[in-house]
Parts: sequence; C-alpha cells; structure tokens
Amino acid sequence: MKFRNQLGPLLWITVSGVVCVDSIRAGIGTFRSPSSGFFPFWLGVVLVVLTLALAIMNLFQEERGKITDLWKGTKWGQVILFMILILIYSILLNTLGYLITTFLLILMLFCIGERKGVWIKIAIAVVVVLASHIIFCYWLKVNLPQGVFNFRLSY
Amino acid sequence: MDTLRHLLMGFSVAFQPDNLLFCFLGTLLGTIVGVLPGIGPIGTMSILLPLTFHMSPISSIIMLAGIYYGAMYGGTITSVLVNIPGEAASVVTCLDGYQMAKQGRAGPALGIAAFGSFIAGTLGLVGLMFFAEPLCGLGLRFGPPEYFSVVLLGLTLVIYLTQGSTLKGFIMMVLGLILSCIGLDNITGVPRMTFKAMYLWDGIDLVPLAMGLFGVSELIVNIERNVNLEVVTKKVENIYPSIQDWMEAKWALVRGSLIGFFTGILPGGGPVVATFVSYSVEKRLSKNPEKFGKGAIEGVASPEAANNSAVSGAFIPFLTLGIPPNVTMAMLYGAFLIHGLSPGPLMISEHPDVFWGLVSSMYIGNGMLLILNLPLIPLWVKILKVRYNILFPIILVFCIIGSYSVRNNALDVFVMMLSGIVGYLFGKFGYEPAPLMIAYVLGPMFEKNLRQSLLMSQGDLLIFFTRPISAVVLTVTIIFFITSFYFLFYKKRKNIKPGPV
Repeated sequence: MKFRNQLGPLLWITVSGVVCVDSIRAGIGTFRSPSSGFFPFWLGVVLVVLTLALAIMNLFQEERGKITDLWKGTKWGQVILFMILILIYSILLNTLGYLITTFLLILMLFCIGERKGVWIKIAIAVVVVLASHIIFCYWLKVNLPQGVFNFRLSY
Repeated sequence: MDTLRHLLMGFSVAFQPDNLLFCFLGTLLGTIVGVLPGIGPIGTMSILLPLTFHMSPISSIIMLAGIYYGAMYGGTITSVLVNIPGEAASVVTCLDGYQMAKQGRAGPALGIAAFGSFIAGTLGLVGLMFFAEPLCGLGLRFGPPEYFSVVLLGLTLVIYLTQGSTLKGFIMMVLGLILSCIGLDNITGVPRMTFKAMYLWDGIDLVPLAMGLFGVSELIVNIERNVNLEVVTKKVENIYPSIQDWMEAKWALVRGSLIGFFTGILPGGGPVVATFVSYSVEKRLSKNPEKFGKGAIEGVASPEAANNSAVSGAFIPFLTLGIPPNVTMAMLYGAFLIHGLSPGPLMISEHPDVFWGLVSSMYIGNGMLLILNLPLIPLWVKILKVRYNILFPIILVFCIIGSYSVRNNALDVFVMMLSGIVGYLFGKFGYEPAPLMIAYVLGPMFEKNLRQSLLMSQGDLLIFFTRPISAVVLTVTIIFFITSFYFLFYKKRKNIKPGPV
C-alpha cells in the first residue's frame, strides 16, 4: 500500500472527524427540528462514507509511484520559494505595511525568473508598487495597510 | 410588445453616459484578462468587486458582466496565436485555431471567432429575453423543497461534468458545503467551526477563496511550467473571413449558439462545458471529421459561438431563480447582494431597470467587442509578448489588493495565499476546485432550504417527492447521480478537460 494512495483519505477522515465533533458541540437537533450542527454533521458523515470508498478504491488501484514523481521535470524549487514568499508576505503585510512588503515581494519574485540586472528589477518593483499605491490608495480610496512605521505616500 | 417596451427602457438605462463607460471598461478589461493566461474573469471580478462599492448598482453589474463575456472574446486570441488558452472556455479553440494560425490563417480564425461570438452572443440575449419572464413565473411557485432540489441538481451536474474522478469531485463538493457552514449560523446565531477565532465568525469570504483557488494557484502552475508565450505569427492579416469560410462555418455557428445557450442554462454548465459539447457534436456531424484538429474553421466557429451564447444562457437561472450556475456567476451573485439586489423570481418586477439595463448593455457590449477586437488585434499581440516573469508579480499585486480591499483585513490576503497553495495541491492530486467553489456559493441556500423543508414537513423526507416540481427535479438528479457512479466504476468518462465551470 503506497502512502501516496492513502494520503487523501487520511486527510479527509481527519476533516470529517473535526466537522462531526464541532457539529455535536453546536447541537445536531432532529429531522423534525434540525439545529445548527445538523447540516455540517451529516456532511461529515457523507465525507466519511466517500473517504472510505476512496480508500477502498485506492487499495485496488495500481501503484502510482512516489509523491515526488508529481513534481518530476518541473521547477519545483521555484514553486516552493514562491509559496514561502507569499505566506511570509501575508503574515508581514499588516506589520510592515503595503509599500515595504509589496516592494520586497515583487523584487524577490522578479529574482525568481528574470536574469536582468538588479537595478532594473528594483526599478520595475518601485514603479509597480508606487503605481498600484497611487491608483488604489488615492484614486480608488482603498485603505491599504500602512504598517508600524506608518509609511505611506503623501502629496 | 411588452418585451420590446422593456427593452427600449433598458436601452435608455444602458445608454446613460456612465453606464456606457462602464460597459466599455468591462468589455475592454474582459478582453485583456481573456488575452492574458493566468488571470481569468473570476479573478478580475474578484479584484474589481470591492472597487464597485462606490458605483451605482447598475453600473457595477454592467461592468462585471462585461468582464465575463469580454473574456470569452479575449481568450480566443491567445488560443489561436499562442496555443495557450487565455481563458478556460477557450481550451477547445486551441485545437483548430492554432493549426489555422500555423497555416497562415490566423486572421480568418480570429475573424470568424469574433463574428461568431457576436452572432451567438446576440442570439443568446434574444433567448435570455424570452425565457426569463416565463421562468420567473415558474420560480414564484418554488418553495424550500423545490429550491433544495434544484440546488442539488446543480451540484450533481457539476460533479457529473468534472473531468477527473467522480468520487474526488463529490468530496470537493462536500468540502465546499462544509466551508460554507463556517461562521455564525444564519438561523440560530450559533458559531460553527470557528475554533474561537473571531475572523471566522463571518465565515470565509468568497473573494479571497475564489482568487486563491483560481488565480494564485494558476500562477503557481505557470511558475512550475515556466510559461513562455511564443506568438506563432508576427502579423495577422485578412481578418475578415471569406465567403467560403462563412459557408463552411454557418451551421457550426448556429449549432454552437444553440448548444451553448442550453448548456449555459443548466446549473453546473457554463461556457467551458458548452465548448466541449459543441466541438464534439460538430466533429460528429461533419462530413470531414478528419479535418478537425488540423485547422477546420468549424472547429473554431462552433466553440466560440457556444461559449458566448452560454454566457447569456447562464444569466437565466441566475436572474430568474437566484441560482448561480457556475463560479463566475457566483461572483456576480456576490456583487448583486453587495449592492442590495437579490436575484430571483421577483428581480424583473422589482428591479426592471437593472434586468433590462443589463440585457441592453450586453447587446451594446457585444457590438463594442466586435468593434474592439478586430482592429485591436495587433495590440493584443503586443500584450502577449510581455514576458510572463514580469507579468505574474503584477497579477499577484492585483490579487492582493482585491482580496484585502473587501474587508480591509490582512487575514483575507493570508486566506487567499493559503487557498492558492491548497488549490495548487488539489490540482496535483487530481481534485478539481470547481465543485468546491460552486458548493461553497450554493451551500447557504442549500442548507436553509433543507432545514425549512424539514421544519415544514416535520422531519418527513418524502416532502421532496410529494411536490411535483421537486419530484421531477430530484428524479433527474438521481438519474445523473446513478450514471455518474456508473462511469466511476466502468471508467467510460468523456474526455472533458479541467477548468472552472
């Protein structure tokens, strides 16, 4: 039995367990008088049934190789870097503010794929950040986060 | 006569300068996002939705709808010139469109696509006008059991039409319904699956979820594949199809329009499905099926007609029953609600200006697209030449601002990024996000009507079979359900490519 075949069922059974427990806490009620947890509880039950069916089907399915085979021949290093960058970005957005975090993010994303000189990358990143800030913050009145430095452009 | 009077009233709304401007902006933006792979109408509508808060309801709806049908036009250009679909509904156009371009016939391919889209879009609108009012009358007879059954049919159809495993499609649907339960229960106010996090009390917002699953995940896929857009031809000439082209494509256009319109009406259907159905029908009916895939003009005309008329068809269940049949319409549904409009059987009688204004603006928008598309083809070719490495950080910035500005909450950006990563992993393991998204949108309606039906019947499930409309719809649902599991076990699924439906 390959781990890859049973990874999905393991995840879904955990999800359904969490959903059912939370639904019982919220109160299931009865068919005559369904309560808040009624609908999610039955969804959890359906998910358990589907997961079992998937697990059984996977047992009889031919082995599909290792999980890493899914990324064979792809630029997986860049993908992982991108994922880490966007998660760090979303965590730091409120603290450092839109201008600083977005500038750093764009600069690093340019570095992922472009081979051009560092000054060109910095220049493009500055232009993109400033242009988006002016369009959305000043023209369209979107309140973008300023961060702890209270850093924003002013006319 | 009434329809004509209403339509004239609609044109008086649509021709107001601000509405005309937003119609133009919507169609232009739609074309651009259709041209650019990696961002589709869902992502664009999500980005612009918060920005429409300051606009009048009708202007914002006109603009967002323009993005939807504009993207159908734009997607063709990338399919024909680069062999990469700019939009999911243009996947099929790659097959023959790109071959035509390689043979030096990019012009007629783009020309027939633009004219075909215009003709089909206009025919679809005529259908929308004549079907909407009778369906509204039918919708008024709908109670909770009927709504429950129709939503269940829509969800079943989405699973039925998914490309991969039916079982995985089903799991995605259940997951979408579970996600829709997060937050305070609308009826009792009890928090569900919030895990003591205040952020989750309002539930997960549609915009960051949709942008993550469809926008950010697409960006990750493109980074992984290192997308390079190479335009097959430097100069596009002879964009007006010859008489012979017209003769070859005429029935394909008619059939594509009809198939697209009726597929669009189906809950779970939409432009993507319509293009695959129309292409396979055209190939089957053709006297020279061997020409398909080698540059047959019918292979471009039929799917292009289908995806545009499907857009008009998709407005029917949405405006008359309040049921969005696909993810893009679900975004539009969100826009309607934000602007205090609730699509449903009373929409036409309570807000005739919105309904008829929207229909009229779509006539105008279709005309604008025809005028825009053909002369601006060189410009679209230039846009396609911008390197993806430069383009994707800019697209990401738009996604960030779009998700943040809905509630001015940085956690929404985090949810979007996380949804993007999860959506990418779903794709890797063969789970399609479309059933999840549809289920997420229809979830609250599904639950509310289920609970109301059970309260009405005092817990008797037979209520769904004792009411005629509900019984018929449920019977159809059961047939689809059984056949989809028949396919699951016998693995004779039709080869339908993935994409948001």
